[in-house]
Amino acid sequence: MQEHCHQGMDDADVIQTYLNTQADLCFTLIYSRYSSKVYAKCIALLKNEVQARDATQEIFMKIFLNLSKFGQRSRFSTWVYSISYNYCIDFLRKQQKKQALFSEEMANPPDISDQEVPDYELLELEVKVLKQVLDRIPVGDKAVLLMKYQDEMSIKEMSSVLNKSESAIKMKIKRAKLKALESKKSLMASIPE
Amino acid sequence: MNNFQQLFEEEKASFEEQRRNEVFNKVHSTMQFFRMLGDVAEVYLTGMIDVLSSAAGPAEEIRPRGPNASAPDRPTDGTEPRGPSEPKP
Repeated sequence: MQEHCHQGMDDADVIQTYLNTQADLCFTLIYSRYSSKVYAKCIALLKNEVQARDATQEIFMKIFLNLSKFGQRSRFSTWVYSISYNYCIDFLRKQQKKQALFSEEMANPPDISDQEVPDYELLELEVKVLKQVLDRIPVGDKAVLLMKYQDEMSIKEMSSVLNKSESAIKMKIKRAKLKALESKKSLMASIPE
Repeated sequence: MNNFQQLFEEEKASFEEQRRNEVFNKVHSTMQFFRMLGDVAEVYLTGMIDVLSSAAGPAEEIRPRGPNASAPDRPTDGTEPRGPSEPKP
């Protein structure tokens, strides 16, 4: 058993050493590896710097207080992102009680019966345009797209993060892609040639 | 790296060092406070439970009711028991 944390250790060893020793160095290592990543998720979903900072603090409290429950069945990053996504979605649900967070919760959800959006429609966008497109779609849809294309989570991982069946996740991805495509078209139409 | 991941890198970079340190200090001090509470509970709570249980004294002895135990409804000093008497012949 290792008694000290050092830069070269992988996440699993740092966590185990932290749980055994409560050493400040392990705490600092975990924070330095993940703080910017957690903040990036929070700012993407909450779109507010102060709220994103407060959320990062709360999420790290949850991470450290529940570290012993991390079973290492998934990657540590997936577990951290799972806490981050769920915290932000719950926060927005409390704040925007009447506003739909996922497009299927909207009054007129996009019809997905025979439409398929190829990945390249979203992956070929410039970063600046992509940001604008994502900012115009419901935040739940944005979270689903981030999990798929940014974190490269599998359907199984996404279903465990959002606590939904795999078929429900596939449907959510399809709807989110359609919503993003609509957003892209309206954004392009609004830009004067 | 795809465009989603490039966006992630940009958003990660927007968490300035000063802000990152501020959040670190808050999380760290809260965790230390919780750890201290845990230590206090571990050291003092077990001792306090021992003190309280010894202050409460030994458990009251329960006497078994055997055939020689006096009946509570019949005084042993010869006086008549309280309550309605039997009808006189």
